[in-house]
This record gives sequence, C-alpha cells and structure tokens, in this order.
Amino acid sequence: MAGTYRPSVSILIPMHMEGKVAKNILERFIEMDYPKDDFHYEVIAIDDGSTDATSSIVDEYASKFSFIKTVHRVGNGGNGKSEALNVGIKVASNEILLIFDADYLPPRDCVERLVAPFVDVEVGGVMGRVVPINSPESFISRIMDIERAGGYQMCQQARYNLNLIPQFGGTVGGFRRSALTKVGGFDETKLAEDTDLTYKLYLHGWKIAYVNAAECYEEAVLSWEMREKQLTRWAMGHDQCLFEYFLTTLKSPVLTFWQKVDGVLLLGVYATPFLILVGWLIGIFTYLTGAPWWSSLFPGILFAFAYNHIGNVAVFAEVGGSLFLDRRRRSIWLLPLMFLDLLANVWVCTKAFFKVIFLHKMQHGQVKKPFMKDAQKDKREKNHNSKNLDAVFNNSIHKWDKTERSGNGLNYYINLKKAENTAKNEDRG
Amino acid sequence: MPIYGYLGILGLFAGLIFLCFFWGIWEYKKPKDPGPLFIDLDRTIKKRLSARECGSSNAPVYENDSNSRQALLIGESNNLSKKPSVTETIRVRGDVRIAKGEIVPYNMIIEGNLVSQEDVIFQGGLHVKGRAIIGANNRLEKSIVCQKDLLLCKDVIVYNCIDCEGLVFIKNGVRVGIGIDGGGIASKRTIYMENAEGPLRIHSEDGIRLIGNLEDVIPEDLQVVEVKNP
Repeated sequence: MAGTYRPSVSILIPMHMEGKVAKNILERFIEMDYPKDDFHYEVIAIDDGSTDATSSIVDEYASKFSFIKTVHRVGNGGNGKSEALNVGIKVASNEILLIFDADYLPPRDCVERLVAPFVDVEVGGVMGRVVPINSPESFISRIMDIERAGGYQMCQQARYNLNLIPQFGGTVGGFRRSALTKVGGFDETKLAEDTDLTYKLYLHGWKIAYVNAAECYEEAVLSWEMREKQLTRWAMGHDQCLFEYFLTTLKSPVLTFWQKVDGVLLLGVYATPFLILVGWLIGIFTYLTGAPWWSSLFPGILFAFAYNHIGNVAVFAEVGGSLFLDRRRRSIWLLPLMFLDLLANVWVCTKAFFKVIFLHKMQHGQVKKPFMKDAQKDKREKNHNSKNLDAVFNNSIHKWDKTERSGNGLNYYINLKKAENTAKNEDRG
Repeated sequence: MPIYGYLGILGLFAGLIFLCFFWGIWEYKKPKDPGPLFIDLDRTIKKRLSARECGSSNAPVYENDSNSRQALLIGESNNLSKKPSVTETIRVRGDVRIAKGEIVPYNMIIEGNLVSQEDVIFQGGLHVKGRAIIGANNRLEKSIVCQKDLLLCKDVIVYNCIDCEGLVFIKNGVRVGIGIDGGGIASKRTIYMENAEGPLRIHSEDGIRLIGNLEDVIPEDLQVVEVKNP
C-alpha cells in the first residue's frame, strides 16, 4: 500500500539541545514526498527545555512553513523523551503519529512507507530501519553500523515475517493514537519507553509492523564512553521491562505460544550478556578443576551453557547474514572485531542488570540501611513509592543523557552521494 | 627442547587467534567498504514503482474501525503518564488542532489558530493569539484569552472567564464562570449568542446580539470543518 495509502499524519520530533542537527531534519521533512495539505501532514518539533539554538531554529522554520509547528515547554522540560512525546501528542492533530529523533535523516519516501501498514486495522505500531550514517568516523561507529544492520535487516525482519514480536524502537516508527491512548501513552518512569510501549501494545492485542524499506540515517555514537552510557540506558530500561512484563507475557491470553517465547527472549536480551559471563566463568572453572560433582544437580547450568552459546553465536550470524543481504560483503571481515563489543556488552549489561535488581528491591523496600534515621527513612519511603529512577539514583542517570551529535551526518551523505554518482557514471561509460 | 615445543604451539595458537582479527584490522585500516549503506535521500516511491512497472494498487483502503478493536483489548491502561495538577505551560508556534476526546493537562499559549474537536478537556488555561474554535462539549477548566475571533460550539463549559479581542460567537448550551473563581465574558468587539441562557456577566465594547442561528453570521474562517481521521 506504500504510495497509495496516504492518511493524515503528525510527525513528532522531540528535541533537547539539538542545535547542531535540528535544521537538517526539518529540511528533510520539508522535502518529504507527502501531500502537505492543511493538517494532513504536520511536523511538530518539541523543544524540551533546550538552552542552545534549538529553540530559535525551530521557530524560524515554523514561521516559514505552515505545516511545521513547535512546542516549547515554558519553565519546564528536560526530563526526557517520553515526557516530551506526551506533550507533543496533545497538540498533534492526527490519528497516525510518527516519531523521529532529531539526528535522523529520512529519505523522501520514508513517511509513505511507514504509514502504509496502518491500512491494516490490527496494526497499532510501525517500525522502520535505522542505518548509521557516520560509520567511517570512528572504530565504534563502524561496529555500530554492522551491529545495526544485523538488528534490523535480519532480527526485526525475521520477527515480523514469523509473526513474532518486532520491536517498536522509539524512533523511525509510529503508532495509532487510539492504540496509544488505550495503553496510557508513554510511561515516563521507564528508561526504555519504546520497549515498554511494544509490550503494552502487544498485550492489548495490537500488532507492530516492521518496514525494512523505510530506511533512515542516524548518527551513531563515536566513543566507548558514549557507547557505555547509551548501552547502560538501554539495558536498564530493558531490564525494567523484563521485571514488569515477564509473567504478564507468559500469561497473556492474546499472544500465541511462539509470541510468548519470543517475547520472553526479547525481554531478556540485555540480561543475556550476564548469562554469557556466567557461562564463561563456569567454563573456566570446569577447565581448571574438572567437572564438579554438583554440576549434575543443576540443570540450570546446562541452560546457561545453551543460552551462552546461542548468545555468543547468534549475533555474529545475524550480522554476517545482514551484511550479505546488503551486498556489503567486505564489511563481513569486521565480524571478529565485534568480539570487543561483546566484551564491552558483557561488562556494561551485567552492571546494568544488577543496578536494576538493586533498584527493584529498593522500590519494594527490601533494601534497608540499618543505621538510617527516621527522617531519612521517611524520605527513602517516598523514593520507593515515586517509582522514579532519577530520584533513586540521585540523578546519576539523566533521561536526556543522550548521544552527543557531531552534526556531521549530512556531510557523509554528500560524499556518499558523490561517490554513488561517480560509480554510476563509470558504469555508463 | 620441550620448552621450544610449548612455545611453538603457543605461538601457533596466538597466530591463529591473531589471524581471526587480522582481516578485520585490515578492513578497518584500509577500508574498501567503510559504509554506510547508501540510501538515496531523494528517492520517492513513484520512481521505484514505475521502474518496476508495478502500477498503482487497486486494493481497498479500509477505514480505521477502532470499535472492532475494542473486543480484542483486554483491559484499561493504568494511565501512568497522567498527572493530576496543571503545573506546566507549553507554547506552540503554528496552528493547532486538538483531536477528539483528548485531555490537555497543560496551560497552553498558541501562537496561531486553535481548533479543538469534540469532547476535549483543557485542564489548564488557554491563550490563543489567532482565531479559536472550541468544539462541542469541550470543557475548559480555567480561562481562555483569545486575541482574534472566538467560536464556542454547543455545550462548551468554561470554568472561569473569557477575554477576547475579536468577535465572540456563542452557541446553545455554553456555560461560563461555573468554577469556584467564577468569571464572565469580556470582549472588545461584538458578542453573538444563540440564546440568553449563557453567562451572567458579559462586557462587550460593541454590544451583544442575540441571533437565532449563528451559522448566518459566523465568518467563513470560523466555520467548523469536520476532520476525518484515517
């Protein structure tokens, strides 16, 4: 239906300190091949407490183009993407809502492709493919590039084809307003509001469609430090959902058996690196000491081994397959270097896993300090009840603590386009 | 002699491990495919379809039948994101259309025109710098300030007051000032009303007119256009 089904659509772009990239994405949406009649197509830039040039840039575009609107949170904001989105949804006119991060560069057909699955009334959400544009910029961005390829081209596509649980990734995607309203909007207490929404939609009987052809460029992280921050946020958010939806998913009357299996595995995706670590430690232990007598008593160890092997191998196979499909066979040579990323994942995700367990226990009052004064106890109780991660971790993790943008994405595209045109001309020659 | 054997085997293993990474390091240092995957940002669907000679699809476009979905839904949400008190103000640049049944828990400053559809609840105050059309059965729990013309459709409730610099059109069943703080309507220009059962306190510099059918006097840019969702 892409290209023939063009419903009215509102595009939400949450922005916080996006002065380097705000102009680029708004230009892309001006170029978008979609009927821009009154309210049929609207772009809502949500300036969530920025103190840089973001505010003036988006206002300038809003004054030039009637379909661009800006929302400024006066004296408030800066508390995270989900809050910003909940504000934006209130002023959005249309039933179909799409979300893009500010550093993204969608092609002209992206909106048409993303809205097409909504012709099916069972589809509550849609997800497109994310492609890092700045992969040549650093080692980590190159690894992110091939990892993203595996995650979308192979993993999301397979989940969609097999009618399992393709995930709404929070950007280059969208949803039906009625579905979102029914599930209570974006949960502002979650670090991974996208995973949370995915499960809420599925548990309420909606489906999420994955559109591989709706590709969109993003700027990937450039350093291990940024990668660690990003991964910690994702892992903690995902593990939060693991605790919340594990049993609900298994008990769901609307999910099929295989959707439950996939749903539970997807929930555990950031707990896998911890199991991999357990597997490695058991491996080293048994190598040094021989198989202990008690090993036969714990079938769980066998499970850990099996999970360990799947976790180790699957990612590499997935990435290799995706690069093959993308006709980027030379990049397959980089696969062994992903082992370094795996080591980092194991470390970061294990830390995040224990942080979330600790947080979970704190929220339920199971962690107590023996010498705490009464006043402190009262304060602590309030924190338990607030369900607010920031409060519990003393704002150590700010929800907008996000990827730094270099703003160079468009330059890479210009070079890429030149190279592509040269190659075409050579072919013709 | 055995020590050389061990070292040889160790070296062989080290070499094999290095060999795994060698090709990756080579590609990283001298890239033949540095990426990214090329996506033509100028591409459109029509071009692709014509290239493949697919033609346009005759498949039916289904209307969104959200009622049929209700049967599948298994329960109400816990509404985690809702906040009871209005503590935030948002400023919107551009025209705004609020969807049917929406709850707006903010004070809003709209630097454009506002159209709200039916059954919208504004929990905060409204300041509209352009025209405002408040849809039928809306509830405004605070006041509304409008710098151009204002239309209040049927059965709108405004808890506090209305301050308008343009024409005001008030349809049947509109109630103003029913909140604890009360309030009335003040306008620089004429206030048109369908009947006299509206607010108690009205001030207009140009006077108040009772009109049997407001549709006769409402200017074109304030006509309510029903918007259909997909």
